[in-house]
Amino acid sequence: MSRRGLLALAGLIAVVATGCNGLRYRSTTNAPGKITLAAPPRENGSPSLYVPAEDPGEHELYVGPGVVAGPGVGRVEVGEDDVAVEVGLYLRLAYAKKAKSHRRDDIPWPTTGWVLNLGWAPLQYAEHADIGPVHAELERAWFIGTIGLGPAIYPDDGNAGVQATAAWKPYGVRLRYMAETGFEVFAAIQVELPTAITWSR
Amino acid sequence: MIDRGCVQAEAFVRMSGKTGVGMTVALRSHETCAVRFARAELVVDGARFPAELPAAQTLPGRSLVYAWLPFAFDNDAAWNDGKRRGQFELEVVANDVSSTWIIPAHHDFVAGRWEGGTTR
Repeated sequence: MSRRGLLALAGLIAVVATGCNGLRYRSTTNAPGKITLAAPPRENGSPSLYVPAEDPGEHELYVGPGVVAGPGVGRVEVGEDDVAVEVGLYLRLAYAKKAKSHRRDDIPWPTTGWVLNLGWAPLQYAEHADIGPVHAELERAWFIGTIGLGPAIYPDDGNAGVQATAAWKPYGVRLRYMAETGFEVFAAIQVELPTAITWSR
Repeated sequence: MIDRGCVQAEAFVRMSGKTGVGMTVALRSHETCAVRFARAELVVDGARFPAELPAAQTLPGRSLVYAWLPFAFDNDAAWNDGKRRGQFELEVVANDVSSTWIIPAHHDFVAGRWEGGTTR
């Protein structure tokens, strides 16, 4: 793939990423709110004096599937004027206990906290198409900024190593050191579908 | 609303949440009337949850008072078990004449912090 083509692909991915809406699935478990079972402070017999329950907050399980792609240098050496391309899939998992429940139009997203990132690159293309590595990264997230570290392994030949990814989403850089082939580095442009399952506390 | 003998009663659910349901009963007398609750229960799927009963009182002439009936129970568990329909059973004694008042109840969502948010 030419460099101009890669730049066009990166730009397209970035545009899609910033315009993407999330999904939220809400369980009705524990839906009743918090009340203090005492007589209302004021009573005049008006039906409008209903005392609404307090928001009990909620549990949120973030399950964000995504696609990551970018040019770089993989396990197969390429010529000086060419680059390899890696395309991968990932799933980010994070749990949070929220003091306040989300509002209807909120887009789920893990803010500050720990995230488990599981992924696989089904395509690493250099001079020919190869299967890329699977990985499990533990990420520290600061809204759209993340730093992740974890093991990676090529499933076809068992070449194992360690992988680190730094991102300011949708942009990122992924670095690997594999035991048999040494260092690899790829741009890691990410498109993620923010998805969460929530249930009341 | 019921009107029995010397008193008219009207009930309002004032709050509903994880720990129970609170109800106000407006008691309006037509004449001097001795009123007490002999029993107040919320019946949900055969289970009976009694309210703490207010003290008996005598309403002089044409009076209006509000009685508070707290039905304390694990409403969260009932909700999670899908037990969301029931009835309030109030036994009101006015000048020694007893009447039982049945009020159907349904626990459901109301629009709140999000669509179908808090329950009522």
